[in-house]
Amino acid sequence: MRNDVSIKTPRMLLIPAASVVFLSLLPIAYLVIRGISSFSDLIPLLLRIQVLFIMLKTAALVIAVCFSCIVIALISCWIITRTDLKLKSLWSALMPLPLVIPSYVGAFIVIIILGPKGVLQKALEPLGVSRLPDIHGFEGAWLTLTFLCYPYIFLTLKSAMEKIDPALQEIAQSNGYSYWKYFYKIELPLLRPSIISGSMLVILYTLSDFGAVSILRYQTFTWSIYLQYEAAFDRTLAAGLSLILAFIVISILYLESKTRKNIYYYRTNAKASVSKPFFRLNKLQIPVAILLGAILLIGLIIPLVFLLYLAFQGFMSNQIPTNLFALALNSLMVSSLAAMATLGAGGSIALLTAKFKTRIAVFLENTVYIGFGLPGIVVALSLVFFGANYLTILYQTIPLLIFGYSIMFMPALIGAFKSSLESINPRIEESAKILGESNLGTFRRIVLPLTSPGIVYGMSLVFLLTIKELPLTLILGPLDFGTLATALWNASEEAFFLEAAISGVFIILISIIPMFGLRKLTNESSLWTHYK
Amino acid sequence: MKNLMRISIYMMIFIGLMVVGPSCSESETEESTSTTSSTTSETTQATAAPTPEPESNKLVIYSGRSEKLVGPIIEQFALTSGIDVDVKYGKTAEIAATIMEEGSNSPADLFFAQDPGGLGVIEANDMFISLPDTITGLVPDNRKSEMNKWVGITGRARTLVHNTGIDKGDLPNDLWELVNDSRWKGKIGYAPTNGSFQAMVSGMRAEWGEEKTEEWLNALLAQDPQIYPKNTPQVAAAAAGEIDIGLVNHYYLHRFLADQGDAFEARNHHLPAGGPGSIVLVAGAGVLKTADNEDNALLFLNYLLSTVGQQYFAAQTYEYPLIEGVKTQRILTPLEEINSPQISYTKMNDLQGTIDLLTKVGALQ
Repeated sequence: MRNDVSIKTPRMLLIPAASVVFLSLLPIAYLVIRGISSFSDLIPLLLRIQVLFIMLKTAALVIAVCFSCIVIALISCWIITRTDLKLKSLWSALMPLPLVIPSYVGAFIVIIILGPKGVLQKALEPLGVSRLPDIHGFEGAWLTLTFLCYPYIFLTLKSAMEKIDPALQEIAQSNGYSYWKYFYKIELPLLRPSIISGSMLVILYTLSDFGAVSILRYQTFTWSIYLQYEAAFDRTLAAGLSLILAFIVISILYLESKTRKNIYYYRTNAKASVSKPFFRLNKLQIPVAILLGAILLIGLIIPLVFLLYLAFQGFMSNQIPTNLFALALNSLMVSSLAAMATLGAGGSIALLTAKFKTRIAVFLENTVYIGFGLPGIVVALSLVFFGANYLTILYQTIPLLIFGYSIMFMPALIGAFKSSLESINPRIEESAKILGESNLGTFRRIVLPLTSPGIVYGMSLVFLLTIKELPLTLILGPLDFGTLATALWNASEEAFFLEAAISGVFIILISIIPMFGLRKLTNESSLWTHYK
Repeated sequence: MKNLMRISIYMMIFIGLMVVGPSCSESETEESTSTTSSTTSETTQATAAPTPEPESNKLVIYSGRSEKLVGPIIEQFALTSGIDVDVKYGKTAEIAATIMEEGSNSPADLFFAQDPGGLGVIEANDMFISLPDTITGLVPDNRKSEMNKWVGITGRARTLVHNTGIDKGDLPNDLWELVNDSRWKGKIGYAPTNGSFQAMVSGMRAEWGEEKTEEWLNALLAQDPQIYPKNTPQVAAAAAGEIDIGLVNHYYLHRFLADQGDAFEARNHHLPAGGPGSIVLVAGAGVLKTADNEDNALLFLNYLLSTVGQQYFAAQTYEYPLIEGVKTQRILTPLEEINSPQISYTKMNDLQGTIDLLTKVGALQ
């Protein structure tokens, strides 16, 4: 799309964007260095470990998780934005919250509850159920990842649905379209970019997740890579496998960029969306609320209540992690710093790709996404390699750790920032410039305020992802440095589950802070658009 | 109006963030230039400071054993010696990979690993110094590296954990009775992804050969065993009656017993006929060639192998002490009474072969 109004010097953006992309290629560079020596060993290995089989298993999980996330997100967003459901703002605040549950915690709780001799079986014992079917494997991993990941799509989809011009529906209906035909033919295509951008995060998260698939024993590509590191101590073969994974990620990104169409995603009129036609639920109020409640029950309430119960027991038996306060402070610090650094690093890329959809911009954006699709251990070891050998001053310091988080989580920020940039009507910028505002002034006074919800949303995602992150924090963190996540790992490694639960509860409590800030901001911004 | 006020407050926050944002991006780009410049200036730096001044009051430990297990004894060492100790905790395999990536620039002085596998990899990469006899002489010959590159600190025995409802006389005599007796069908637990289980399989391959090990694994799988991610849940499952027998390390049971008392319904069963099912593994440590504080690292090894250090592990982690004169916890079966095979840890280093075999029979998939 050639933009009629553009920020004058793309070079101003291109240079920082390109240097960020260059840095985010470090893991790939490392993998090539590590993997190239084993190139001849790679082929027999690939045959031996049945790579094709693992690829199919991985693909099955990714597709299933992504599909079910889309279904849950679509249904819940539609209910929240298109019906007269009561307590709507409460629902829309609660629905994204499962995002705060770390995948290893979610999987752990799935096993405790749905395991062959789990809580559910105990409850069903009087009915003669002596053993539940094994939850390990595909079903467990699918269930866990679906309920942890649907918020990624929910959040992008909801804001997109709120921005759709209600006039479209009026026009469609005056042309004889039924509502569902309108929804399918007109609204859904308009929602596609937000579904896809959310889905990309779900896909990459599922591809790189280790916590859930290892606890639930479903062998994905990432699981196999960890197996090479942890059981075989074989870095070169692990690097070879990681290169294949990187190739898969690149292919997915390439396919995704092919599906993008040059549509205008901004509204062209300034009419407020007050007259939005609502579906009256009437008698369906309660069943619909139960439906949303059930999603929250599985994704948030059961895990949280269970964790609180364990943590309470831990407090009662005084199994409190030492330095809990310092650990929480460390978690808060690295997560906030990561959110800010990622904005600094990813902001230019988002601006570039939203405003100038040139080939080079798409290429730069795609490259950055690779980091999110690679297992944490790979990114961590690549920075160990470069840090210890070429950047000794920064090695094992907080800045390098933050840099690692940025490499991994930048896509979450870019996606959020970019979609809010794309929803701005360029005429507004144009008008500002005609009225004598400079480029920078337009950016500060028009673009920034309008995109702030997107920025804050992106930063919140980075914050959440960082606070849960484990392998990078363990490997790349300074000596004697601990966070809540490392404390949780440390305690659960030696089966001190009550103590681990306390760290888990604190991770979730701290994560909830930005989620509520985020909600307030998005509410304000929808008011803001009314003033336009 | 109120809304406008609130909006403007939020805007100010954003602008504040944007001020921080660009300054971060500047530092990012600074980083990028320094990455490239440091590669060129590295050589000059290296010649300028060929050997870093040894700081005799420091020690950097990379620990593959968790802080829960070894934190207190490290702290105690720091207090008594006055040495300033820094620790990096992680999983043994990831720490080993980290040390290899760091190469000659590793800040680590000493690697304290959970199992011989991790130590073997560093040894094979020739990154350990040879330890003096004064240290390696403290432990039996079969509890350290053949080349004296690392030394065992504590021992743990592979064993069977069983529900107390099972008659002692019915328990298997060796690993074959376990997999060939149909009464255990569906009632055995094991952890195919666990390092200690894999070490046991490596021991089988060293002792029995490839074919016989494969036969045993196939027989085990035919028993329809329950799979667990690691040892502890198997001990809990045995006590809960979810399984009859689990293939585990000995010490997890004792943590449960210490916590829940004798009413806990599981006990260990050391196979009377021995074999790889009773293999004794060690946690051990070695000193890196690149250590800046080699003397302090050796002091620490001495401390771990002193009476104080060994008593700590015997009492707190229920592991077997390896030096003469320190008593095993009363509730443990003495190491001398365990019929464990004499397999050199060096012979168990082919971890990839073990993974391949486990994959081939379908235990890992």
